[in-house]
Amino acid sequence: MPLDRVGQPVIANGYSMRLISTPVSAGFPSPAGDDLEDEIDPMAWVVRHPASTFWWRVEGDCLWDVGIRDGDIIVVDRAGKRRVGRAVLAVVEGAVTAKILRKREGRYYLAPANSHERFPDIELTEDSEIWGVIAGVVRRYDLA
Amino acid sequence: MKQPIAISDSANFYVSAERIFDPTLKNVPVIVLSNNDNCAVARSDEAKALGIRMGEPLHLIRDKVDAHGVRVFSLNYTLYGDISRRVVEVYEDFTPNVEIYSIDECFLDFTGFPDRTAHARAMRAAVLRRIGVPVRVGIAPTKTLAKCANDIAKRNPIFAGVLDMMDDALDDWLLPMVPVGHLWGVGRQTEKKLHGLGIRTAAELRDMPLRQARSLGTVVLERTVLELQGEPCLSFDEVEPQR
Repeated sequence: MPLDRVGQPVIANGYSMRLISTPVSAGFPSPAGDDLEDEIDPMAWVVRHPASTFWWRVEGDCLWDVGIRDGDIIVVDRAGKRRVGRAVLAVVEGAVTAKILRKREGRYYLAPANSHERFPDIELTEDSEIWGVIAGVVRRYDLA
Repeated sequence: MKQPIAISDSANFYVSAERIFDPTLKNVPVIVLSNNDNCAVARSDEAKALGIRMGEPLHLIRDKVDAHGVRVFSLNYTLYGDISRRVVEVYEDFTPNVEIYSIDECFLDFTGFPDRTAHARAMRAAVLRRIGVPVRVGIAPTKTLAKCANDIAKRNPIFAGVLDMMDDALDDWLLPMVPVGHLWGVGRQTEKKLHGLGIRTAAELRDMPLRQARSLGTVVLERTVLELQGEPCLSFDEVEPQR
């Protein structure tokens, strides 16, 4: 699953939107959701540490099961805690890849999350590096 | 009461910035070229070891670039500006007072920290982890000495990137090893004049009579001598927070 860095630094415009208090169920939005409450800045919602957050574009579907797909833009926080089970950006043999951090029998692995396609686990060695932790994902769908 | 001033700068900053996003640049020679005349304006340690000099034009180093697979980049100020801003944000977590001196150098107020070396090490580790840029830190009672400490830390790996020179005893040990030409504010011409007087090290410059310094190199050199003696002449810019 190769990745490209999103070209230039992404500038957050402090874009905030009104948040409807009722969560949108996967059906009709509740009519009671008319009363608008909080405001939310979508950028601030995903970016917890602006200094250490970088944006990358995903190629491939090896993290499909955790909701990361080909063409998505992922938000990667270098200050995030490297915990087992988290989706991380790693450097393996000079290539950048997005995987889930796993631990088995005292060893760490980079594992895919895709039940439809098989991708091999990669054992973490001294030469590999966890570059950052995936903090969020931004996706858009075709409108045409 | 001496105020500890730290200066933190990044190793080969432009190269370090490029390396954040391209792991294949690790441990290989990398240079960054100026836009209009294709001169090397940043060199990785590996490129320096190949004898590529600062400002050398590409056509003169073509052979080395080809033979050793030197990776060549063009200036990307948008990237450097972005990384620089992020590094400053991390510094701000470690001191209330940051004075930006250049794109990769900041003076930091280190007043009040009981263990300055540990504090600087933690800051260094944070910049490396959160952003991925290696920095070096020199700490001293004046800006000139802090730059000097930074330079020593840069050239001597035993300091692991951090040198606290608040203790006078360290000056006596280290300043005799620093060539005057390496000092902040001492240019080529001044260096030549000083050499003419047999003044070759920072220690010798520190012990030069002030009046002689003034007549040789104007008030700038006199200030450098005072700063080497531990007397701050270049104040720490206390920037008012913008409202």
